[in-house]
Amino acid sequence: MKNNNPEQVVFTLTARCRDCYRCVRVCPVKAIRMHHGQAYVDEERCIACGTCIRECPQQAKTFRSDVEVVKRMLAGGAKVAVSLAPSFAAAFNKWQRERLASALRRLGFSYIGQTSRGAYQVAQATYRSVKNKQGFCIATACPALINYVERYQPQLIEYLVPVASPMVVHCRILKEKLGKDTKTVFIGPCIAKKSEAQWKQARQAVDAVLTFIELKDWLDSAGIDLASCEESSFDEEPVEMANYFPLPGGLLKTAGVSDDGLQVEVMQVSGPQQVKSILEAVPKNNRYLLIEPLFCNQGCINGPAMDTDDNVFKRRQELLDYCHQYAKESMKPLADDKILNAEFGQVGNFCVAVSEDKIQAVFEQTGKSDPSQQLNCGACGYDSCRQKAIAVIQGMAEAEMCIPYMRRLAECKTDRIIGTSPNGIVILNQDLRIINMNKAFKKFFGCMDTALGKHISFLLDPASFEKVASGLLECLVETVEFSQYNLSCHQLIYALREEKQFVGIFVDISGLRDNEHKLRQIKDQTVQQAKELLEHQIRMAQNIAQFLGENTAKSEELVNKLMILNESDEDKPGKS
Amino acid sequence: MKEIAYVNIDNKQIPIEGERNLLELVRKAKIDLPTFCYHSELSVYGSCRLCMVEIQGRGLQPACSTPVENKMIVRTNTEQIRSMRKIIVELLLANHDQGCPTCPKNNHCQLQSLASRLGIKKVRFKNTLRQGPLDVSSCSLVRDPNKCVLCGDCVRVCSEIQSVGAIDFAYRGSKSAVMPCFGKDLGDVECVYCGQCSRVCPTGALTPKSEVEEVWKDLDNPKRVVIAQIAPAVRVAVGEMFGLEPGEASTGQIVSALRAMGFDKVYDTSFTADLTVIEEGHEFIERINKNELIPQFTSCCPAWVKFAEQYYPELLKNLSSCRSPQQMFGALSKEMLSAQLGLERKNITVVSIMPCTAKKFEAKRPEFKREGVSDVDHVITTQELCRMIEESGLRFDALEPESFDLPFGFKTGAGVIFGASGGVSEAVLRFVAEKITGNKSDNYEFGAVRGEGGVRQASLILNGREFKLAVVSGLKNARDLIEKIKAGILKYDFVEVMACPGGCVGGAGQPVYRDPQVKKMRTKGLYESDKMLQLHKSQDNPYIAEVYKTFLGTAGGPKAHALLHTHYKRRKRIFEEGIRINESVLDKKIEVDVCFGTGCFLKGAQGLLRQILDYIIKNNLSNNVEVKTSFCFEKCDCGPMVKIGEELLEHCTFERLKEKIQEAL
Repeated sequence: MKNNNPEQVVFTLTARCRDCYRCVRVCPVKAIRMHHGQAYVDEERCIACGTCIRECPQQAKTFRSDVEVVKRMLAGGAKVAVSLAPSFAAAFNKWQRERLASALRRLGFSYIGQTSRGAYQVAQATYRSVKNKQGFCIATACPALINYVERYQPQLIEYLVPVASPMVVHCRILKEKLGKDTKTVFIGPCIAKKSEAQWKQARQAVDAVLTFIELKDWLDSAGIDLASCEESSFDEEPVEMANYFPLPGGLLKTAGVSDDGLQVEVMQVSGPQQVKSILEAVPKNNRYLLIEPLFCNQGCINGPAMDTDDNVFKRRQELLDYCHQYAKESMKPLADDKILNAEFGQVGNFCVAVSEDKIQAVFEQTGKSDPSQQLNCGACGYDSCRQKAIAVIQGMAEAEMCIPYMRRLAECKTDRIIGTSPNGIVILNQDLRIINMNKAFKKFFGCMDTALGKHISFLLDPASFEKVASGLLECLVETVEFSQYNLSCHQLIYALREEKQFVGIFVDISGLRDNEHKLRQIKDQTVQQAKELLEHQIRMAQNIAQFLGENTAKSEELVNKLMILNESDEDKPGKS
Repeated sequence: MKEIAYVNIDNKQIPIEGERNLLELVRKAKIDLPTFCYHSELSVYGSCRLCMVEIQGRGLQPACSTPVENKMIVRTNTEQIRSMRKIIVELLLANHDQGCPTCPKNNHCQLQSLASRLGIKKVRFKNTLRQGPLDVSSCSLVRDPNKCVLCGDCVRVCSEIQSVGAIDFAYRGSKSAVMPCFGKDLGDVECVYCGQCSRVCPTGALTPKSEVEEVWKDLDNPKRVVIAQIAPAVRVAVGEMFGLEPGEASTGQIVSALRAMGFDKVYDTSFTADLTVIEEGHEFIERINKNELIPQFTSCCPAWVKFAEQYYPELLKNLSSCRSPQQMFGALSKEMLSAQLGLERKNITVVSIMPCTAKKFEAKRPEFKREGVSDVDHVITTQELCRMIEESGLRFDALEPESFDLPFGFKTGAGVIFGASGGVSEAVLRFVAEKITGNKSDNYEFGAVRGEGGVRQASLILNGREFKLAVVSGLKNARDLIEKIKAGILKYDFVEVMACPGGCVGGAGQPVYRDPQVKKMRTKGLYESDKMLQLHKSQDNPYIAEVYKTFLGTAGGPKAHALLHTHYKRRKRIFEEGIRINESVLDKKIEVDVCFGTGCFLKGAQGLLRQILDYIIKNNLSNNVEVKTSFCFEKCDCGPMVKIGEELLEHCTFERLKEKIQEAL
């Protein structure tokens, strides 16, 4: 997969991406590709408007820094000229503006020019072109807009005024004036200018594009404090009228086209959604309409790389103040109109139709075959389930991005786990009333769904729950005997503090208790038997002793009798 | 393997790497041994005895004058040394004016900080100071004999670095004092007011003379329009007093501070430095074309100008006749602004902010007065500016930078590098090179004239001709170079002289520093500012072109000459009123001044005086001729010298003088 190509203008820092789909949602051309829950910027589709960079809550989107490229140019000894966008007046305050040229020279730039000098020529050429054409015209200096038209509204390409942008024209002028070896660096508020610099027509003219963010970072790291720079002038004075370019309607004003905002033939529009809706809506067979679109809301002063703490209102004031510093000035027309040349053409082919079968297949996969399931909630970042399905087919989105689908899936799974658990599970609200219980719980405590909403004391001693509810304990584990339910349980009670709920899990250990009882009985019996055996043996011993004694006594008696008999025989002589 | 030589200092082995003395080695060991009389650029004097250390086997020795030897065992902090240092400082304090809070050197005084470092709470000795009067005779410096610690730094800097020797030790023993010759005031001797003595003075014995009060007074006067000019070297030094790094430019904050104080316009002396380049460059090209008065010496440095007037009057014609940027600014701004704003000259106050004490003297030279009003009213030094900022309570580092007023606030890089030695030469080269070759070039840096040495030489070839330049700073260096030029050993086309070593960045008005690195960083800051500016050549300054077009006419033209050029005069080194022998009551009288210096006296000045007095009495001319005797016309080889009117008569005889008197009658 072609991701995070170092040349890519806008890209994702994958480590920071937390798949929130915000970039998908805000991207005006849906150029964000989701892959395994990670957002990537599709280089082909991206128009480099920078909206995702602004919006990403994790700052996981960024743009290519060209500071090192420019540093290498300077280190290589090249003469490097700056074309400074007029919106610098909104990015730097008055005293900073007066010292900016010094700071740029200190960085090593040898010529500090102002893009407004190119802008003036662009405006003049635009006026001539529009006047000659007398039809629908899109006049803009906005590269994001051109990127957008070339990719997503190719049928409008023929209406783009064929004049290069002020950046390109001014850089061409600089090269002509200072010599072909001079390198040019445009510095502005715009990220899309980096992509414009890669266009065929610009490559020769613009050697690098820096944003104000890069410039300020560079000055910081080089230890250059604007306050300690000598004030000095730029090598070119700005052209007053052309300084209006960064504001909506600025090009028209510079070209001398009056626009009070309510004319039939002239209109200006800014902001991605507004530009898109107007360009999609405008009828192509328009008799005569000159439209000046700028992709950033309120124009370039609100560019994604402005890098100022001032709000848009203050920026506009600063810019206008700067414009008014300079007397109205006009420039000599260019000797060679070739400097103004521009070519536009279709890029990529992103408007292909997708077959209905495939869309239905995606719907089926995500359980949306039933139109009632197509919520069009926009949670995935796409405007509708259909558009998201198309994106899935194009490899830009993943089925898992659908939050209702994923939730159903997740709910099915968790419900089954709870439902089938052999442990009793009960969930109480903050008032310790039952809001959920599973089958096992109902069985343990012999209750039905009618217990829902009842206080837990309705079923059992609430003391343990109260302990946890009081906040004293986060979690309580104990063994409890519920004699009235003939139940003995390990009970685990814990709090879901965020939800303000309490969960009780009851593990039935009644069976275990019975076994123990039997064992104890056997033990007792065995002891009893041993005792009996002992007694029996003692008794036996006693009996044996008794017999032995009796026997001895009998023998003694017998012997005595014999001895008496013998004595009596000796006393009577006549018998022998 | 060769054993590395080392010295054991406080139980640490410190390798010897070419240190000139033990003190340097101790400081390398990161021990700040206190000293008053040691300065790396001056000779070793060894008088303050504060750097005493104990060397095993040798007892107590001053570190500054002890050469390092292998395997020395040194202790810098023993009971004996500590008590001795305390006694030294106490003795110094016993003979010192202890009005510290009111001393101009308060908080920057080395004696004060040393007393605090050594924890001296009480001076056990009776104060024996006999309060002497302050010497405020010069407009640049104040000498307070009550604060002198006799370290001799000023004496050595004046003679060794500047070869002027305006001050020296006088008397002996307990009566020793540092003072100008014959106990005269600084304003009456050959002091060139460079102020280097005040830069090295550890106490408040020599300080720049403050004009702060005068400036406040004018700022508070609603009738006066007060304008400021800021010299190039100031911007890279002010920050040092407010926590910034030396060399970090704080131009914008200075402008902001001055506006807050009430200055009506804030301009940059670099603008008139650009103007100086044009005028001086034109003058140089003219001299080259005519091949006369070569070498051309620069004239921006007022101390150098006074030095030349005193010691090298024969070279005065070689000095560029251009006024210094400060004086060009004064003349031009008063002339142009009075016309533009419809103000009278006397209602405009021009305040210069300078790194220099001699500029105070320059501003008061009579040549720079028109219609009784000085072109530049007050000159304050960088130090004084810092004091004003402190007094205002402005938090300098937090000030939002502001811009100079136009047109005198717009300068090129050439005008900024004036503040560093070599800067004037480079600025002039940038102009002259283009003017002589006729080619515009993108390159503007002439690295050959940059560097740190006190004497630098460079040569470059323009249109086939070789131009030789010399850049000197420090008047001793200048004297040596001039002697060689005079002897024909060296030959140059252009010589830049700055009195202070390193140029104006090292001026005596700058914040006090002891680390020699500071001067280098200031110089670097100036060259960086040059790099950062849009334009680098004075001739490209559009506002200079505008001023010529609308006001001055051509460069070197009559109006430019009147406003931007000056003349120099031979200057006596010591001023003393002559002794009036007879006094005349008439307004129209002939003044005869006979030199009574030793040389002339030996050559018969006394006899000449007697003869001329006899002649006057005999002819009853005592009302027409006034006779006095003077001390030395500094032409001792041509004695006896007599001045009649404005004319100097060398090898004067009675006959010649008599003729002259008759002629004059």
